[in-house]
Amino acid sequence: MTVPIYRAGTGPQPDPSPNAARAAVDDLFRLHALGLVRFALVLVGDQATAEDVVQEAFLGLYRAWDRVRDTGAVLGYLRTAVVNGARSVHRGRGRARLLRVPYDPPVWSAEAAAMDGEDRRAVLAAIARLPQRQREVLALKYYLDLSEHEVAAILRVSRGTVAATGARAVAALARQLREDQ
Amino acid sequence: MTDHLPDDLEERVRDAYQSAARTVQTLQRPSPMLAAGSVPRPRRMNALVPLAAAVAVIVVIGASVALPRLIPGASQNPAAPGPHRPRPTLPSSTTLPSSCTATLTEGNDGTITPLFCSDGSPNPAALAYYEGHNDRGFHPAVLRLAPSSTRSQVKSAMCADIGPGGTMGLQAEQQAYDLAARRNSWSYDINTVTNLRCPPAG
Repeated sequence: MTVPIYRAGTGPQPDPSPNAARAAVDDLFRLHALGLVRFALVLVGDQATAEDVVQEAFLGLYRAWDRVRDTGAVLGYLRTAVVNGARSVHRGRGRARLLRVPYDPPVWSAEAAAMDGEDRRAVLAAIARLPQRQREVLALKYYLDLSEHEVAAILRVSRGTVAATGARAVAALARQLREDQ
Repeated sequence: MTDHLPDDLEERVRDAYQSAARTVQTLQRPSPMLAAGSVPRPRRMNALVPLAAAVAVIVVIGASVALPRLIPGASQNPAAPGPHRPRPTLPSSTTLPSSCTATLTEGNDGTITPLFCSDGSPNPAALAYYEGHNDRGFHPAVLRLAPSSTRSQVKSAMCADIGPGGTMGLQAEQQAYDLAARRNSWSYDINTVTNLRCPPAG
């Protein structure tokens, strides 16, 4: 994980010693892990993989703890790490498909027993067919309710790119849902 | 079907996301910091590290080929224990998909990473490790259960694994369960730390 997490800010500076790092990251895990797993779930589609992604994000944070200058920036770092981890998952699934070992994430499969509502399943299935970047923008914008500025910071793109990608995603989604009817 | 206004669609997206997210009620895995004693905080990599790693790999491969030929009897009992006992390796019959890695990182408590391939399937190398290809005596019963095993049977096996006569620590047993659960499509959400209650021994 090579996401820079230095950011000048007003948050407290963390203690860089290993024990303090472990305790601090453990506290952050208790505070944010469930939310991040849910966020990862909407990106990768199943809880076990989502937890893997989040575990890796926290391990990356722990390893880079001595570079943290502002604990207020840590959640943004973790979200970026989750997005990057989800990209790796999708790359792996792409390779698996080439080897004819398909993996259908349960959340957006038609048989998703845990999901209630045909419409929700249809929406998630349509989202799953969008390009990766569009899915990320939708998840950050409509699941985490982040502003375009915040989405741009996490994806490391311009605010204009976020706006354009989001608009294209919504249009493509509407088109797909119409075709699915 | 009429067209949906964008606002309506955005609400449907929000609703679908929230509904999907609600399927996660509890985490199946504890904080990675519980095993952080075994998680190194690597020093900043400098430019020569990749080169040094490549040289090390070449030396190891060369030595593994040359040494058995140079040392009489060295290849007669490769499993013999000793101070420099080789790390457990994957059985040669195991084939790995490209999304998996055979290189496992082993912690002090015997837990390993990565457990799963990038496509979400159990890593065959990790399965082989917990199915006996390890030098810690790990042989978890939970990995020998049939896919049709009930939650009660799974819990009994796990309690036996971590009980007085068992060979497993809590974290290692959790990994064994995670592998078994993924392989057998169990959704029992058993966690050795947070919700596994075993009957008192004796």
